[in-house]
Amino acid sequence: MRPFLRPLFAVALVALAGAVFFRSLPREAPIERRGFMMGTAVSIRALADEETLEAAFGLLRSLDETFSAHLETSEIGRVNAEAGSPTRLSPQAASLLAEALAWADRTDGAFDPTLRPLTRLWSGDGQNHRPPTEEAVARGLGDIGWKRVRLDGDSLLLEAAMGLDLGGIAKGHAADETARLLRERHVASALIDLGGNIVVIGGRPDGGPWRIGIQDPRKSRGECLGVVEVRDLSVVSSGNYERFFEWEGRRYGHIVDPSTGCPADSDLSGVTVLSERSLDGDALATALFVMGREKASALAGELEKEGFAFILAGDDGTLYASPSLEGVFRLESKEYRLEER
Amino acid sequence: MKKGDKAVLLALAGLLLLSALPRLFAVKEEPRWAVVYVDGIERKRFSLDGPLHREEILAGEGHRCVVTLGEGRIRFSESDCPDRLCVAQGWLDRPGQAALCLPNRIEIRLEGSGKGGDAIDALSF
Repeated sequence: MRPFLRPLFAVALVALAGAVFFRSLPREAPIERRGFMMGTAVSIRALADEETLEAAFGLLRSLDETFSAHLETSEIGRVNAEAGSPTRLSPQAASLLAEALAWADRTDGAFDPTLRPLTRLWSGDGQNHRPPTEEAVARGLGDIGWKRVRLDGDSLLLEAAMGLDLGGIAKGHAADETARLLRERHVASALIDLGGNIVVIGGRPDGGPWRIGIQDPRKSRGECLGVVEVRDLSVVSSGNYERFFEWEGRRYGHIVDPSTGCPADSDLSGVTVLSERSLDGDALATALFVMGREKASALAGELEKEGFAFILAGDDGTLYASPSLEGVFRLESKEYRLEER
Repeated sequence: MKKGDKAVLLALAGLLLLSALPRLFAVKEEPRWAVVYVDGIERKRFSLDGPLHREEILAGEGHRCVVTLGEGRIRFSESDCPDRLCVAQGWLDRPGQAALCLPNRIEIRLEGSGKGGDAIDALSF
């Protein structure tokens, strides 16, 4: 080695060794907080301080108290109790209801925020869960319909006996709002998990993308059909595998089809939506599941042009993944075969 | 190669080896644990090593679940909740898996590093 090259060579290698060394040092550790809200288990893992996570949980509690259809004291509970008379919504509730009605329009009613009479009917009394009578379902069907909602700014008029259930969109909205709060506090890495509705901020603390498993709808909880690797995105899945009850040998899922008043009898077993806003993913995952494969595929094709991505699992083992998920989604189960739309 | 070159190369080899040490220690496989949360707060932490046995988990207002664990896995095996969906969820045996008894607000999660670094961060369901 020429003498004048020796120091340069040494400096370069020392710099290289230093970079490797510092990269391998333990990084700032994320903190995690867990709880039960919105009828499910929620958690936030973030490179943040305790105060920030406490603020995020405070926000989640407040949103739960506003949007829960099950709490009589919530804003939605109050609105439902006042159905038949004009009422005034908070700006936040009015905005979310407007978003819900827009998705109801876009999905031709497959997503419907007025399903409360039917979801109450199918959720049972907590004991001796059994299906409602056909007459009760018919009555319930007469009390729903998103086109009958009169929303003008923050003024709302629901017909008597109608009721709102924003459960199909409120968790997504809560995840978006939580992510907004964390970003405002300069959190660069976080994973918000509201009962399987996921929003990630940035990448993992080690710099890589977040790895989100997609539940295999035909297997027990935790068995993934594949994995998506994402940053700054929402991942929401829907299907009748998660909440259901059985009566006389038949399984009844928790997603109600607004056109029949009964649990959706879909030829899709699971739908996953990747989107910027979790609110959109939440509404769409439910709607596409209800629509079934043919209609869901058609709408997915339109929405892919707007930046959405989808994983549609058919009940026959077929799987569709949006072209934009190439390099993002990896199929791991050998029981599915990828198909073109 | 001159003596000085050898010294520089030796020193750099030592530095590179030193730099890799934290990474070598970091890849050590963690033991697998089942963590039980009640109302979002960690209540119990079980090693999944050892033979199968049962443990009672008490929730609020006198409610209870029983879990069976050991041989690297765990499941809800009894619950006084109305729907018993927790019992229907079956065995958990991989890091990242979770089972939930919603009425009793009890959650079980498996912790531990996945082999080959392929463990998931969360499950969308």
